Amino acid sequence: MNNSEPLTPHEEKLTAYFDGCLSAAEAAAFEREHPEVLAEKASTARLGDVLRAHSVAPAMHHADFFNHQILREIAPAPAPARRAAWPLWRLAFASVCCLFAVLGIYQTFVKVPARPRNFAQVLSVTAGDPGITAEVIDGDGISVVWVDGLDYLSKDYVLE
Amino acid sequence: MNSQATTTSNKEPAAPADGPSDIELVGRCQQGDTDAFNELITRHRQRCFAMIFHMVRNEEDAWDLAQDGFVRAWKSIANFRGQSAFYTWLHRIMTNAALDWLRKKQIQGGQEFDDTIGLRRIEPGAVTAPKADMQPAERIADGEVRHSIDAALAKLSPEHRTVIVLREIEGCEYQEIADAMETTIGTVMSRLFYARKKLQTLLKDTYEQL
Amino acid sequence: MNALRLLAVLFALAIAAQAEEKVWSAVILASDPARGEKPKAPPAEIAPYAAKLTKVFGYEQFEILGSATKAMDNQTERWLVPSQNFWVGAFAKRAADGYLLKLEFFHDKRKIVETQAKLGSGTPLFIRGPVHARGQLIVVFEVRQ
Repeated sequence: MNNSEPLTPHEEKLTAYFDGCLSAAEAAAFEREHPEVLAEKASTARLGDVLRAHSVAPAMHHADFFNHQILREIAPAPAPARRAAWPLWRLAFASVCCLFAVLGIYQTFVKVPARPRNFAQVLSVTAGDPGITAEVIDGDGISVVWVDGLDYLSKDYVLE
Repeated sequence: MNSQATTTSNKEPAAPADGPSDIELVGRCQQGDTDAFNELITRHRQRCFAMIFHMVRNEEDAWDLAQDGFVRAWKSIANFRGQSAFYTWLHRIMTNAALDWLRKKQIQGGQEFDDTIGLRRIEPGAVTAPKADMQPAERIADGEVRHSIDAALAKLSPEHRTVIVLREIEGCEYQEIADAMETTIGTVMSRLFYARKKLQTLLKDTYEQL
Repeated sequence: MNALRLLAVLFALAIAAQAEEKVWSAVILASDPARGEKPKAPPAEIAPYAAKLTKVFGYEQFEILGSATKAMDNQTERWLVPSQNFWVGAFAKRAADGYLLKLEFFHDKRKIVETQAKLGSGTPLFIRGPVHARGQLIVVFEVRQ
């Protein structure tokens, strides 16, 4: 079964009906036309009830440590202990930051993105197992990772 | 046909009445304020953890993935423009963190069933927590049902499991699920349809016991 | 100081604008038309490369069996599932002129190949997959705005 096989119009309406997405009039008409859906709706509702009733997450343990680890990972470099009033090194640092900021803005908003090559640059290729070989073909404007040694798929193999 | 589902929706958890709003905190985060991010983590960590726990069915993995989700959120916070509630945006990041993890697990040879799941601590205030006055037989039955549900969910594909968790347990609307999974409402409905069918078959015996 | 803050905000916005890029992946079936028939026109997504693909693979018509698009968060692993048979783990790192992508390509849970490639907008990477009775399977990746 495909993960997202398209539904028939009836199946789509049935799903919307189960989830309360039909208007009262639409739902009543659907029930009149297909009386069996009442039992199906009850069964679906029961499934939802059972799932909700027995799916209680535990309280998160070590919650403070949870925050601590995240903050440690995202923390910027420690601030200097003493703040001097714009010493020379700080001015130099701010100037470099400004320069980078301006370059960043220029790169994004002004300059047309550079395209050094007209095809992807493959830096490394490793075959998944010893039975497979893989090499890169850069030619005629496209890059291809040429893989050999894969099994032939017969017509019975369903592509989905 | 109205595409808005009517069950409990995935609404933003309430911010403390006396504290700054999520949006204010996000603005501070965008200027590099990690204290503001700490406050956002504290506000949303339990709900994110619970949602991921329902998807991956393992407390330790859910803890790690929720952390990973918050780190992803910090890295992307400059992209948050306030077009949706902060929790909606965060929820999408968390869903993707868990979904990617499930896909990776499936590739690596499937998940092993964790048979300790029924023994985990339950939030004291939870509506569905086993009652203290439950008889031993009832407690065992409750654990067995949970065990069956976990086993059945483990047999679903990552995509089917995700739609079931988001719809049936988290109460998300179709559009919220579609946004979180970066797909269309039609695909969400299709996945829900087939996932429910499969679960109804897998849990048939469990139904009859209840 | 305010000017510095303004620049920092502008810089953050610049980064945000760059971050709208996504990686698109698709599974293509390359085949030959039935005897006496003309090749079908390729789908718009791969039309610019169809002639080149014909030169490399030797097939004249191309159809897309499935595709997936994922926003690439910098330095975050994402999973693309263009079809239920083919899965791709992608780890993206922003480079000066595109993305440095580490790709792990699986066919029915068998790891086929792992590759690192630098992809910019409009510079796709193709991976030759298995041969099916209906033709050659090819997986394509492309960074899109």
